[in-house]
Amino acid sequence: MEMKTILKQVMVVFILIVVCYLMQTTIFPHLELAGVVPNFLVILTTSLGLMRGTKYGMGVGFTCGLVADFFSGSLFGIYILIYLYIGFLSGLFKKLFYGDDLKLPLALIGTCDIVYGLIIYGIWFLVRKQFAFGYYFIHVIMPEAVYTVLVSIFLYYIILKINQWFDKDEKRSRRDLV
Amino acid sequence: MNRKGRTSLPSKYVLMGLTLVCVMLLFASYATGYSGEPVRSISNYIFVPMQKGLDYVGDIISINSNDTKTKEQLIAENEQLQKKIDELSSQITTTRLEQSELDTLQELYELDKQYSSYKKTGARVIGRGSNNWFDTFTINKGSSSGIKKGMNVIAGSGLVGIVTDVGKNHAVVRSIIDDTNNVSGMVLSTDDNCIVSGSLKYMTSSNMITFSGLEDKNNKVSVGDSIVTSNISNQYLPGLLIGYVSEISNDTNKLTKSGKLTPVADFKHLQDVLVILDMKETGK
Repeated sequence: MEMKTILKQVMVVFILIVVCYLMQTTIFPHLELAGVVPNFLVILTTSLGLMRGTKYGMGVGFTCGLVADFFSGSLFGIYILIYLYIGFLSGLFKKLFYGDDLKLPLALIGTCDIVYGLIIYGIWFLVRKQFAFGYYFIHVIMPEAVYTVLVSIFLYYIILKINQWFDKDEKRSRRDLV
Repeated sequence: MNRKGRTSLPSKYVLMGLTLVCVMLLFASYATGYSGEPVRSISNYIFVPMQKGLDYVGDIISINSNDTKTKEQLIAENEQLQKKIDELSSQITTTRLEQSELDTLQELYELDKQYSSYKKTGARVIGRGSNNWFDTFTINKGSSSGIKKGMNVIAGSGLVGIVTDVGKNHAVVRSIIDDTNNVSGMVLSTDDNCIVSGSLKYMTSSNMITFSGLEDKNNKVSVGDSIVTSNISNQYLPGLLIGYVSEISNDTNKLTKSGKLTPVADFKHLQDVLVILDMKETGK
């Protein structure tokens, strides 16, 4: 790949991350349903990992985690680790990815968001003897996953269009080289 | 680092490498309190200005949802508030009398006013935390406005939280309803100490947080008593109102009591907060 196309992709993905983070922290808290806000960063990491593979997923996950860590006010690095693994795991499903099919991406995004919730519960709640797992599962993890999947129906198509554009761009730059 | 290049390095090694980096970061941040300072300045220039702008859009949305109250609701609310005004104005007159009495007594005893006005600065909430488990938010003032880690944040008449992280133009505040937060509190009427802990579970189900370890030998504490920050807390200034006791029960050890309290600050609609610039002197 040419340097220019790489730079272009980095820029576009970075802007996507910034926009998603801002939606998640400024606009959607006003639109919360059942007291939860959808997790845009998980949607982004999972869909890009699924479309473009493990390394890409890890890159996006790393950056998303970094951004989440900036404003978390707790241990620095913990969200990087979580998003990194989400990106890697969704990248493993690249073989099963077929453009327009919505079932796999939505199922994967839902699963990843539940896994994300379980990890957070494990790290910060279970260790402090908050054993009411059923309550947290029904009132935080599940609503968040459902809302996230709902939002991802729209967001996924945007990311898919961007992915197709990346593909075309790469092909063009390869043709230019030959 | 974050783009697929021409490398043939298998991705599991990349994953292992990055994991190692993260673990190292975690240790560094645990041991030294490091929180990504150099990279962090990015956030000052990219996220904070945009959050400030987008905050207005969010405001418009929330105002619209307030507009949907019906006329009947508004009339009923108005009546209720009117009643409350009457009630409060009668209270004020008695309080004024008491205040003047207190002033003369304090003069007699040559006591300093302990809870005299703290220096405060107003700030605006510009963003929420990025997940549903914690109750943190970002405000639009940082170290350039003199805000430091550990300062108390209030809204209206009640304690909201504590500054946990400061950037140049923003600061992260952890609110008292956050599940990981504990405040040393005191029942105002009896001066008994207790620990007030945030609770995600009770906050979402009934808008309450918990308190525990209250020693109340004479059974004087009752529902409706106010709980304020205690003078022995090493992070919070004394005398800030936290909330009102709404449930109280005996612990199994028969020595202490625990229960729930309703916080006074409205955490669902936080927009403007006050940061207290004075900090607790703990002699550390």
